[in-house]
Amino acid sequence: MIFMELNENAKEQEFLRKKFRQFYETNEITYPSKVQNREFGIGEFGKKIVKRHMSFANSNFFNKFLKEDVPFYVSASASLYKRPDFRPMEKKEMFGSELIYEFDADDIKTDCRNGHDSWKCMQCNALGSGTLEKCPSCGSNSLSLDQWFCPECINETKKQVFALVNILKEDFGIKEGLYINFSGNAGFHVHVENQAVEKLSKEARIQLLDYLTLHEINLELLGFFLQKKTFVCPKDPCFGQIKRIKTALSDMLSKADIGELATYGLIPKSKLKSLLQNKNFVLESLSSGTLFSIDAGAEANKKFWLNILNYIASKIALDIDRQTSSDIYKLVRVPNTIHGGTGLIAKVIKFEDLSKFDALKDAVAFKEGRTKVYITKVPRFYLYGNYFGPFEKAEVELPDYAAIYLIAKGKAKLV
Amino acid sequence: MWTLDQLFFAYKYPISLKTREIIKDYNFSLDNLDKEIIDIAVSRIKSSYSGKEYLPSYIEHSKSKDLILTEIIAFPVAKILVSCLDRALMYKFSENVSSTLFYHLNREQKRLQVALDLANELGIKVDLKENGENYIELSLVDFVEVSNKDPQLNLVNQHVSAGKVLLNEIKFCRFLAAKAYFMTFNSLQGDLSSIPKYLKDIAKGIKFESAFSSNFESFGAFGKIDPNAFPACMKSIYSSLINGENVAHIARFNITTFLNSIGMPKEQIIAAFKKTPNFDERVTRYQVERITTGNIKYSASSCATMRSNGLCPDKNCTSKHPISFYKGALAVSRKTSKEEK
Repeated sequence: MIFMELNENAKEQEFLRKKFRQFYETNEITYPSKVQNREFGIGEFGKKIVKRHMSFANSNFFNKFLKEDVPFYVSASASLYKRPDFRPMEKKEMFGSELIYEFDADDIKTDCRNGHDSWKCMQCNALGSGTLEKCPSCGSNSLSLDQWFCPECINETKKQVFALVNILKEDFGIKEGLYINFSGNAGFHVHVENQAVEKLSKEARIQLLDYLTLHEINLELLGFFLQKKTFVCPKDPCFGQIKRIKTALSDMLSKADIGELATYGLIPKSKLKSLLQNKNFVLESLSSGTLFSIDAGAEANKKFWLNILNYIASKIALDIDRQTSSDIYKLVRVPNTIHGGTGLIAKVIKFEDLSKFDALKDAVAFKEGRTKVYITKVPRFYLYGNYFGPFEKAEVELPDYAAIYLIAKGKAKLV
Repeated sequence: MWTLDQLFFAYKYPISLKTREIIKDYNFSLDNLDKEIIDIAVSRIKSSYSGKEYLPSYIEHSKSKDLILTEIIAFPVAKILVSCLDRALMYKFSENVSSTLFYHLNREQKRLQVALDLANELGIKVDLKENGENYIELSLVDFVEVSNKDPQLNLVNQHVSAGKVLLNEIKFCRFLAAKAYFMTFNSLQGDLSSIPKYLKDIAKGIKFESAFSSNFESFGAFGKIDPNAFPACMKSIYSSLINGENVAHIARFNITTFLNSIGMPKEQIIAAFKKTPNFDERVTRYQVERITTGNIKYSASSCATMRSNGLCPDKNCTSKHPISFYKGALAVSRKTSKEEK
């Protein structure tokens, strides 16, 4: 995202700050817990962190600061420190750290992105829709991306949150201290504030992360291997990642889509005839610990099943942001504060409400008032149950929440 | 007051509570340690930088309580000496404590019971589950604190449910060895001011000597790899690999550490597995890299370990370590070849 020059936006910044102040004057921020032990960081228009190593004695001082200084972004450490404002980091004396897992819609590939995202090559000026890593014209990876988010991509991110919470509860046995908040832009943060995990080392956190993302999974060590001429798997009942892999495999085999099996198994369709003809037996064998031998030799059979299993593992692995989730010094947006790049609330959601949570509606902070803005260029976008645009070089009057959203994204100016 | 069995337990598992209780009873002073204790402590440290498990031959069948007690007392002395050394030697020493503990545990006739006793001594809560084979269930939090030490223990490849990790007997022993590594390392960095000068001087001597020994097992020490000079155990595994036979996991691990120790490049080690029937380059590369270039250095196993793992095919072989066998055979082969020229 390209932000407009800061000095060009003094009027817009003042407008946003006035609105954000209204929000903080009427909303008490009760997060994070243990305020006195957190390091805080704040950001301004277009910059998420301009100052860090800040601390507050208690929640009252923190709220007073929000009302008076009105930062555009406010983040707090996942870690707890004895002296959170000390520098360098070692002097802060960390004594614990939450587990935080972050999902971003921009990490998840969805079809809708071709409809709302665009890119521009900084080398050859080529343009296109969607999100790319390299310019298709000149091969440069210096691309400027204009990313937007819609209910579809946010819902995909939500599915990941459901899967994560299920693993945290079922596999890791975490029943308490678990809460979720919308990031205020396009993702979700899952927090675990629990004494049992608070003291975990960075290495232990990476082990948990590797488990969730199935990083370096070894199917053979988990019981999927060729035994003489038969490819075996763990018998039911299974649990953990083995259960998830077997469930996904069972779903795939139940669908009996020969094209899908041949594509991901890297084998000609002709070799899969008996597999499909014996679908019920194949599923029963899977349950009792054997993977059906296809119409090929033992080696080809093994390769087929390993290809399928590796594809399944890559499909069910969670797309967690590794940086946030393993960096214990990272600052993360304070739940229920305003995201300065959208004007939306980083709203805390009860797990039972997550399925019906419409982020781009329920996280809207400024529901009243209208403001006239000049818009440079934006695609059609959704907010608070309504669609707006597309607009290009247009002067329009919008509800405050939409005007704030575009101004905060650097896409509109006050008229 | 302590029985021979209790003393043996404390000697073999020096991170245990029993060891601490015995040491406390002994009430020794650092100012006037017996020379014998210091010599044993130094010997223990030397075994760590030579990459061998610490296994003094005189102790195995000893009935002398005094002898075993001296070994027990020498352990904290060795830790004090190592605390005066650099981090590299601290890592090696901790690794040595870990591998020696695994060696002893793996050889116990009642391995599971001893492992459970040790876990109990370390305050690790476990439950035993019958599931075809013995499964030991322990807390996920206890497990992940040490599991990064050993690639075999990576959480992603374990059975995890309801905040517990289920391990089979051998993996549980590996877990205890990993725990021993961290317990030892974390207990090394203390306040050095109270250590008497004469002990610091001894530590300096060890540091000087280790500088000349650290190249042991390096590529330069052996030059071009000669499979004809391999000991029978490694020859057998290596020929199975290159003939495309399936090889047990433990044998794969041992050949990898051996080939790495004699300086075979990583890519060549991976290539050696290419003909195996279940070869998967991604998995092999991952495993070889974790063994050869991971945070933890895996030394080639000693002959005793090879024997206990059922990997020694030659009962008449008198070697103590596959590396020293190779070194000797290589020297003979090169001498012969030179004479023939």
